[in-house]
Formats: sequence, C-alpha cells, structure tokens
Amino acid sequence: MKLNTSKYLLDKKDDLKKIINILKDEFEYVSILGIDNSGKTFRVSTSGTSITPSNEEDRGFVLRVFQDIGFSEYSFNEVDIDLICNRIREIAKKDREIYLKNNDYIEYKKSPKDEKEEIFYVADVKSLPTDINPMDIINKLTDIHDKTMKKYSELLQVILVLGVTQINKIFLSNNRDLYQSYIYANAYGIAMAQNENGVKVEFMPGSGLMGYELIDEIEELVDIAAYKAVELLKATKIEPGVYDIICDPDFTGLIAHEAFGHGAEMDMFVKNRAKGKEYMNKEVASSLVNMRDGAKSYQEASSYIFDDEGNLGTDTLIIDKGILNSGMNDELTSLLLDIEPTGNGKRESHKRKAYTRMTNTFFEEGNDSLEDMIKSIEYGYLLEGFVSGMEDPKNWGIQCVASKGREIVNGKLSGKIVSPVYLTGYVPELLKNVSMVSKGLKLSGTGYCGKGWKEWVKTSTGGSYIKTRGQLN
Amino acid sequence: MLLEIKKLLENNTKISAWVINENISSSSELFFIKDKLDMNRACDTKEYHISIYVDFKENDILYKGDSIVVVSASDSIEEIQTKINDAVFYAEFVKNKWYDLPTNESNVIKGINSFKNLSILKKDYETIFNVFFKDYGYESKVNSCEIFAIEGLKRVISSKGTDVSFPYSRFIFELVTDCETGFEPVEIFNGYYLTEIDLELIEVLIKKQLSETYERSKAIRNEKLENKRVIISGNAVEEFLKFYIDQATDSSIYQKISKAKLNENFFNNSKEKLNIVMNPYLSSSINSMPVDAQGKILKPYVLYEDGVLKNLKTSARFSHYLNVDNLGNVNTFEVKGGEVSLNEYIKDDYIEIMEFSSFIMDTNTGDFGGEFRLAKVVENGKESFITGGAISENIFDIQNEMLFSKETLVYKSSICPKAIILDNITVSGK
Repeated sequence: MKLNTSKYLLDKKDDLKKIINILKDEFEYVSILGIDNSGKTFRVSTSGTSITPSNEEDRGFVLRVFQDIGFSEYSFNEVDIDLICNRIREIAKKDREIYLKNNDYIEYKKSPKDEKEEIFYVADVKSLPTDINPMDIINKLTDIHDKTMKKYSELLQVILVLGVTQINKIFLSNNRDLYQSYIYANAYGIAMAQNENGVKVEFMPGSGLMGYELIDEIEELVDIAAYKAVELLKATKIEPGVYDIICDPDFTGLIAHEAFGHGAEMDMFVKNRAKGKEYMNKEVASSLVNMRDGAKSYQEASSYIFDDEGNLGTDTLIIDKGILNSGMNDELTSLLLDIEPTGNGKRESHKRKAYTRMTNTFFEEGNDSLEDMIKSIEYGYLLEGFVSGMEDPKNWGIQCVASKGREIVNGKLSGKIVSPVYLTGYVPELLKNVSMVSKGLKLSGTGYCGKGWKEWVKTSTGGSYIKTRGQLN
Repeated sequence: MLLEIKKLLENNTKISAWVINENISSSSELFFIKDKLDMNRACDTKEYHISIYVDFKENDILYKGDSIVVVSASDSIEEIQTKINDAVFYAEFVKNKWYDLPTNESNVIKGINSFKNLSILKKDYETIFNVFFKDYGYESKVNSCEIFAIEGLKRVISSKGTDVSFPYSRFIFELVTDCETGFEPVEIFNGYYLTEIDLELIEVLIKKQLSETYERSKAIRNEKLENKRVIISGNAVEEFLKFYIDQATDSSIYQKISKAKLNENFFNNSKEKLNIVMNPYLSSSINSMPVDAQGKILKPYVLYEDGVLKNLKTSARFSHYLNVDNLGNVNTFEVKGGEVSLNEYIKDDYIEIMEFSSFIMDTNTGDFGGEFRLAKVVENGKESFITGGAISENIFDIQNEMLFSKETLVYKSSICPKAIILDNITVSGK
C-alpha cells in the first residue's frame, strides 16, 4: 500500500507558489523546500521504556534566491506570505549590501538550471506506520529483552531500539514541482556486559527502507550484540604496529565513508580542502577497489528521489578499479565547478544550510571468500564493528575505531580478542594495499554523518570483507 | 499559541502532568570561502517540545508513562489536538515505575546575560570581518569560515507550577585554516562556541589556530614512543573530564553502569583531588540554563569534593528511584585546577597532544584515546612537532596518577584545567 502523504505540505503548496510568483521578478532564481518529517522511536531497556519523536522530526521551509551578487536563504516555520517576502528582501538585498560594501563575494557565472520537472512520488510499504499497535511493539521488544538477559548472565543492560521515520518533502521553483514521501526504519540491539575488569558495550544495527516490520530482525541483532559484549570482557589491549588486517562489512563501510568519502565531497574541492582534487583520474587504490555513492546507488536509508536542492538522486562511481573517477556535489558546487549536479545536497533540517553530503556509500563486493582471506594471513587481525571515525580530506589521514580485533595466527582465528582498535595512517596507502575483496555486499543505514563537528544527516555505508595492511593502535 | 497548547493539555483528563519547552530563535549566518562571502542566510523559528505524562495502575502498582510532542509555529489547533491525543495514547504504553515531577519553591531565577548578536553583526560588520580575515603575519591562512549569530528566548512552563523565561545568545563560528608551505599542505578545523561577539577572544582563538596550523605543517610522522609524559590540552580536556560527570549521573548509577557511589571516594589514593561544581549559570557557556527540560529550577552544587562523590547529576525519574534529591539536569560545570602550575610539569621531556582528529572517551568503559593531528615533543629542551600518532588507554588504569594543571581554561560547557598530565604513556606511530 501507499504511504499517506503530508497534508501539511500539500495544504501549504498554493501559498509557497504565491511566494515564488511574487519573488521571481526580483531574483534570477527562487526555490522553496518544504519538510514535514515525523516518526517514533521505541526503546525498551533494563531500566525502563520510552517512546520519543524520531531524530529527524522536522517541519519547516527554506526559501532560496539567487541574484548577480550571489545566493541567500531564509529558513522559517510560520507561513505568512508578506512577511516571508519582506524578510528575504531584507536578507538578500539590505543585509548583503552591508556585507559586500567593502568586501568581495563568490561569483556564480550562472543560476541553477531549473529544468522543467514534475514528480509526485509516494513509496509503497507493507504496513502504514500509523496502523501499528504500540502495545505489540513494546511487548515484543520486552520479550526479547527478557529472553536475552536470561541467556547471558554477564549482562548488565540490554537496550532495544526501533524507530521508523517518514520523510515528506516538497520542492518548488519556477519550473520544478517535486514531492516525495518515503520511510526508513532503524533498529539497534545494544548490550552491556560486566565482570571484575569493567563494563563492555556492543551494538548491532539494522536498517532498511521499510516500516515496523524491521522488528522481525531485532531478536537476532540483540543476541549477536549480547554474545559479542560478553566476548569483549576477555579483550586485551593491542600491541601497536602495522598488521595484515581484514575489515568486516561494517568497518569497511566506515573506511569508505570517513577515510575516503568525505574527501570526494566536491564542496571541499571548491575550498581547496580535499586532496582528492589533485588525484582525479589518478590511482588512489588497488585495482580491486570500486566505490560508489548516490541516492540511487543502493536501496537504503539514504535513498531518495530528489535532494534538498531539488536535484534528482544519482548513482556515482567514485573509484573505478582503483582510479578516482568522480566526486559528489551540491547545487552551488556544481555551478562553481561547472559540472552536472549529482543530487548530494542535503540539510540537517529546514534550519540549516545544504552541503555536499554522502548518501549510500560503499565499496563494491569482490570474488574472494572470507575463509581464504583468513587463511592468507600469517599474523594479523580481523576487525569488526565500528565505533567512530573522523575525516581528514586535506591530508587523507585516517582515524577509524573498530569495536574489536580478532587475532589471526597462521591462517586461523586464535580466539584472542583486542579492543578497542584504532586504525590510523594514510588513506591511499591503506586502499592501495587492498589485496582481497569478498563476496556479499552489506550496507547499514543506522548512522548519522557530520560535516566536521556539526550538520548531522542520515547516511548509509557498507561494503564486504576487505583484506589490506594498516597501522593499528 | 502557548496559552492554546496549555488549554488543550489542561482539558485532557487523561494527562496527569505536562511540561512545555518553548524556543523562539533567530539567526544570521555567513559562509565564507577565504575572505569572500558565499551564501548568507537567516533563520526564524518557533517550536514547542511538549512532554506529556500519564499515570496509571496495573495490579495495584502505580506507573507513569510519557511521550513527547513537537509542535511547529504553523501547526493548526486541530493538528496540535491530534498530536496531543496521539501522545497520550502512546504514553499509556510506556510502563515505568511511578515517579514525581519537580516542583520549585518559586519561579525566581538569577539574571541571565544576553547579547544583541544579530544587530551587532550588522552594525560592526567591518570590524568583525577584519578580525577574522586580516593578515596576522602567519604563513598559515584562513581557508574558510562559517559564522552564526543567534538570539533566542526559551520558556519552560509545567503543570507543577514552573514558569520560567530566559533569553540566550550565541556566536558560533567554524574556522578552517591551512598552510601550504610545509612538507605537504595541511589544515586544522575547529568549532568555537561563544555567547557574545568578543572580538579580543576571537582574535586570540584565530591566532592560536593559525599558529597550530603552521606547526602542523612542520610536523612529521612519529615512530612509536614509549613511557612518555603525555600532556593532553585543547578540547579533549573537557571530553576527558566529562567521564566523571557521566559516572555521577543518576541513570548510570541506577543501571549499575557507573562505579561511583554517593559519599565515597571515586579514586584510590589519587595524586590529584577531583573537585567538580555543577554550575547552571556558567556565563561563558552557550549551554548554561537556569531550568531543565522537566521544569526543575537549577542551582550550583558540588558534585565531587576531593574525589568524593557528594551529589548526583539527576533527573526526576532516576532520582526518585534512587531516593536522592532531584537537583536537576545541569549541563555546565567547573573543574578545579591542580596544585601545581603547568610550567612545572613541562620542565622535563614531554609530549603535548594539542589537536586530536577526534578524541574519544567511552564513559561506560573508560576507554579513551584517538589519533592526533598535532603534538609538540620536547626532548632535552628541543621542541619539534609530530602528527599521525595515537594513544589508547583506559581511565581506570591511569586516574590515580593523573595530574591537572593549576591553570584553568574556558571550554564549550565548562571551565576545566588547561591540561591533564599523564605519565608512562605509549604513543604509537608509523
């Protein structure tokens, strides 16, 4: 069945069109993005239950105008046509006059293309998020919680999280009339185990373009998290050094996203902040490495029809057999670099600016088997799970933290576990050392990505098992 | 709209308690590439976060359920009514042991400083621009910058009698600086969170970052360094010390995640005595709040005294379960400096980690560390800079030996020692 559309956005559409009609003679380009996201997150833990709004709950609008002296925007959540028109005149004309009186500005040689496009997309779902019975969800999560706590005596806490968010967006300009409604679901099984050595935490994520039916995966997720948390209690510290490593799909995804993906965001090219700019069409990885990003590259939590600037989602081949083939961009970046938009302009909310952001980012799968990969290592580690990562696009430095490393000795897992594990080093060196890539592509869309220290947006990342060589700490 | 929401809540007989958090905010935002203005933006929003509580009994046991509604400025009354009804419906399925919501003796709060950042940005634009982009004489330069001037008003009103309004102001900027003259081009980026447009402070911060960027351009990848005195400075200090705040939080103690016990020393013969005061009126922080989201009016109080946990960081629910006073959710704090000046600790060889890529402190496990982008090495009086190394430690292994500098600094949510000194640390390298 089809999702319900946003009555709020569709009821406001005539007013939004009136604003565009009033302003289109005063500015070269006028557009409005409307957002009406809503959802619920259920959380059952050892210490209690909660139902809270989705992290992406948001309702409001962004008005963008372009004139010969550049772009200006106004974010608002109260629709009063006269007030909004007067406010954007103040921001784009009066304020800009003050700012540019004695100072320079970034010149755009043309305005956005604004080619004619009409889309009204409403996703199909198995069950409507509004049709669920909260009691059924809480009872099921509670049953799984109790069963897991009973199974592992070392557990201190088990937390089960299930959230479903419906995204509703409208984008209007002189020539564009776009609407989309879709949903995604996120689930986490989190387990905390404790012994005399302290507390250890593990989590397993699940996600998809679906509704509350994701609940069927939670029992397995939390059982794996609990097993791994108990395992972590015996973890020791790693001896820092350079090792042969195998990265699991979650950690491979973290590398794709943090280590390389941020450096392929082309707003960083404009600012001369990305080393990738000088490596276009050059070797940056082993020939086994293919990397993609795009709202259409994979069906996961960051898939959409159009981005927050009204550009259609695409499928971008970032690395083609080890060669840096393309970056991704937002509208303003595509204008400055005179290239086609890739549909990667995303906002944290209606209150924030759009930047070039990743969507579904992953290394393509290969032909090797995990078994062969382990067999090929004399001494090294299998890295599992992701804790966090930080980009360094200018210098291609890596900081990616894995939940644990499993020691490999003479082609076999020894049973020894180290944790936490920091992978550091130089991105091209790590990617050029990729010598095996397994079958079985897997993406996870539970994460949020920041631009530097802020601007959190939903992304998905993944890959398969890759074998390489890296500095572990 | 606030009065209409209040009326709808009061008219719903299923609701046992409610708290409305109103937030009215305006911002002016400027985005620069080098010193050229790219986009300018403004944002005016009004939002209401409404917590709805429902009390109910099952088998003679009293429970409290809750749910949160977000109301936007242009929601119709019918929509708000529907949202409230939905929230009541959902709250009835949240079966938490009953607890009470906070009441206050009065609604009087101390005065909160606020600044006219929006008008000052326009009025003094040329001066502000000059502070950000003038040539300070470094080989490193400003690559790009984002500036956010914000003013707002918050009001917290509850069915338990809380009704507190207070203004807030923020001046936030993200600064990227780069240097092209070293071994290879390098950059450093940081976010700065001020309450006002303090030009003298902004100049100090910009110069410090330009200087560190230049130093990073001279930095080399280090070999493994063992048994070293490592000094942690910069934003990592606050992240590190937040471990002790999290350990003192009622929910962590209730869930037995924390090792802290009320009125017991958290340390075992530590060299440094930890003293932390929770201060909701910390004027330097954008996170200062005189009232928490549940309507508890906040006051300063002692969290740790000489390492002994004297009070908890509390919420209505978990403080009730633990049978301790609810002092409210204070997010700003002050950590007392140590007995000895930093100058004493840097007389011998040391490594000062000035910029982590992203410092990680796991407040559940105590694991901390990360890769660093800039560290200063002093060996036999000779200074050099390294990059790309990392540390990985557990706080429980080092806390009895750690030391704080006597000097303190202002951080995003706190005033903390300028530096934390750790001995016998391994710094991994290439």
